[in-house]
Amino acid sequence: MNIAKYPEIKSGKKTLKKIYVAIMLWIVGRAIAAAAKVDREVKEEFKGLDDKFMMHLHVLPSGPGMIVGKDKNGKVKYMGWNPAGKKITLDMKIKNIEAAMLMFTFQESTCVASAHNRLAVSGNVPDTMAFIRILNIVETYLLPKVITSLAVKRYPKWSEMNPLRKHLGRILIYIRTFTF
Amino acid sequence: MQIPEFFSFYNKTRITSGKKAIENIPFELGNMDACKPIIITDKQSAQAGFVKTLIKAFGDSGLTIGAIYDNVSYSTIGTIKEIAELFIARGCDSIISLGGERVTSVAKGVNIIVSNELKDLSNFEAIKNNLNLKPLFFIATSLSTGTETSSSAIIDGKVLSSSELMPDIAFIDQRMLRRFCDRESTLLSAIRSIGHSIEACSQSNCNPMIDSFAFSSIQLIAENIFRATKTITCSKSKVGLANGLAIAGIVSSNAMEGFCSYTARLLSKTTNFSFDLLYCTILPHFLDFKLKSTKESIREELLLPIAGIDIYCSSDIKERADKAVAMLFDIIRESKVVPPNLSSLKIPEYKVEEALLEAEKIYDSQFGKKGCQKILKSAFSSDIINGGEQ
Repeated sequence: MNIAKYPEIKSGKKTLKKIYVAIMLWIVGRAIAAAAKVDREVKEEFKGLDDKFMMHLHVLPSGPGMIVGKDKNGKVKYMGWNPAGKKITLDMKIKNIEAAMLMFTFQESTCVASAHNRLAVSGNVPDTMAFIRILNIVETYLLPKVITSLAVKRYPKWSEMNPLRKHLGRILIYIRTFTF
Repeated sequence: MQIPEFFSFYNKTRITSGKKAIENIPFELGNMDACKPIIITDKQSAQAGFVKTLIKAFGDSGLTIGAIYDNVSYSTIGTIKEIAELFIARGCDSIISLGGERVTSVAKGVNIIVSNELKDLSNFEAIKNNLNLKPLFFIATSLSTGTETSSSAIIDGKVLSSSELMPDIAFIDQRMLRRFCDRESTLLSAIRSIGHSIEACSQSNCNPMIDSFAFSSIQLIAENIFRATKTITCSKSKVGLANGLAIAGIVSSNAMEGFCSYTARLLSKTTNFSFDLLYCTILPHFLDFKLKSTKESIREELLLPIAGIDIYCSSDIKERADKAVAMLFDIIRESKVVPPNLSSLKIPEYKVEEALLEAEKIYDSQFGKKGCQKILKSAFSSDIINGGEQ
């Protein structure tokens, strides 16, 4: 048998998709840190989490990813993408880059993606749920309603988030995300 | 629901179905400590672009595909040895089967040989309860028939059976079901799978797990059989049908071989007609006999998966079995691919009689010699589907 007829095939690269997801994760990571200062609901959610809380959301097998956690003073910070030397308490893994694309192009909401078994989590379930709630609030601030309705399970009602709070919060979060 | 005093149900296969399902393959390989799969497929799948889609699904995983063997035409020991040689030469550690029954049978054969360091499969019976197999993934395509998820492999016409032969994961992705479609063989496979499930839940050793799997498979197939075969684009129906077929394979692995399967297999060996065609030809005659002649008859619950909740609830309990069989006959009639009887296939009567003698030895206790004769006589010359003698 001529083995050379059936060559080995190295898996290709999906660089553009990786770059897109990396940018989205960077924005979301920084926006979470900003929202923790601006929005009281996000503040409350983080208050309920452990002091050593550190969440790593990343795409398998080799990233990109983002780390958000509390520092020594209890402040919520975006801590980059490299988990080396950090004590991760909640490890959220997106199984592949295509699943990440479905999530970050808002074709599937976080809840639907979890239901479709696209995420694997190591850590506390309550912490995970709290983080998903935070993510939903942040997405509501960052994106227009048409897109947010695709990304979250339920768009908040008027009573839950009035336009003044939403628009003011949006401006502040955007400023904090892209400035300091 | 009756529970037998003792029963066991084994299902090794996990089904991963839906959008971008095959993108999970690298993750699942990692979970099974595998990193270099060999892909076994046939020319049709390669030409339809399924292989390209699969290679793309490996994108960014960092894995290397050991080799893609796309030359499976028959399930023979020669092909298996060739692929086993390739597998060992490339240092592969897992197998991905992309295609239909032949491809998966070959993949199972390769797995037996490479995992147990055998030269051929002649020693299979001695080791079949102690197989330590490598991870085997199956990807359903439009050529799949439902037997891929079962515990058997047909190699050189011989049936090798062991529960360990079931694939570890069956991936059902709509992109792999789109392209070409052999309407006739898909319909025959679907009807055969319904028949397998009905036979499985009509047996005396039936248990709640078999019921649950069999009813799901019947419902999925009955709901999607025509929509999936009529259109090229209705991916939801195609995914539904592929799921039904995959579940039917699991059901048949947990049930004893029924009368229809046995006689169809015997006849298939001697006449070279496809097993599915012969099975579908005998099935209506078998069901008709069961309905009219045996005590256990057909279970009335079968109407629920075939017809749906509305018809089931509005039917009298005594009429449900008749209605279920009548609706199944409607499906067979509408498919227009099942011949009315064996004589219309020009199968000589003596071949049917030979099969009858063999079947009588096994199914005498269930149906009696007269019963077996009646079924095969009817299958040879009557035309039950169209309501008359030939």
